[in-house]
Amino acid sequence: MNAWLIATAVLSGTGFPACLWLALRGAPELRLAGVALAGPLVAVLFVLLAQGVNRSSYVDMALLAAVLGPAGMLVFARGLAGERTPRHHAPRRRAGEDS
Amino acid sequence: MRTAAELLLWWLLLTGLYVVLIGPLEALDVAVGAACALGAAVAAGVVRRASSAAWGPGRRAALAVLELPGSVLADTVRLAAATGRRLVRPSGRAPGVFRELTLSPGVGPAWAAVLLSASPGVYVVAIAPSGPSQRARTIIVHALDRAPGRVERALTDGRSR
Repeated sequence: MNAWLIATAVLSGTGFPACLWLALRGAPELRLAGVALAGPLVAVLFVLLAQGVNRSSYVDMALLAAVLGPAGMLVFARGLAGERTPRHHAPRRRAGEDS
Repeated sequence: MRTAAELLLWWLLLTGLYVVLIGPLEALDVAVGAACALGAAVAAGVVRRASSAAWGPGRRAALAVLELPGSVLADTVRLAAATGRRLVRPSGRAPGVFRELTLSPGVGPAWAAVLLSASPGVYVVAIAPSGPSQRARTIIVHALDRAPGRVERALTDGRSR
């Protein structure tokens, strides 16, 4: 057991369950903070784990989580936006202006 | 010519990713990876053209990239604080608001959306259409709060609502 693994255990035992708890309860907009925080947390966990067990190839998982996390959140936030389409939010055009 | 340059760019990017992610490689591994990357590069180019996606002009891109690491760190801390508040007071107001940002003229909305969404505190949900006469582009984001982040400040003139 080294400091990296201790940090992994602490983070995965406290931070991640907290995110999970928020992400699994309540209305979709209430779950957002938990889901959003879980993404970077998982990436950090993979980095700590890779250092802890001295396997540099495990860092690839952190890289994947770091890239795919925001991509997944984009889909979640887009679904949450609902009717907020660009058409409704586009500035009003003056008469004769190109569309 | 432009299509060939785009194909080369995609191929170099994908082959580079393969080499970095897979690690020490033999000649056969490199050949297989490069061949697969070529197929993927053709597909990526076709998809990009079909969606009419374009990066747009790159003004302020370097500044926004420099601000990104600090923004990720600051947003993660703010997000952790918001999550903590929600755990302590489950009945409180939900964190997060939808905001409309006006990008500075010369800022491409596609790459700006990628950079803005790379921070955990802001996610772009829509890009407003604009005509050729409209120079500044409007994007709609879901943000943790109304305070503008570092990347946002770099890409806008401070106009948001």
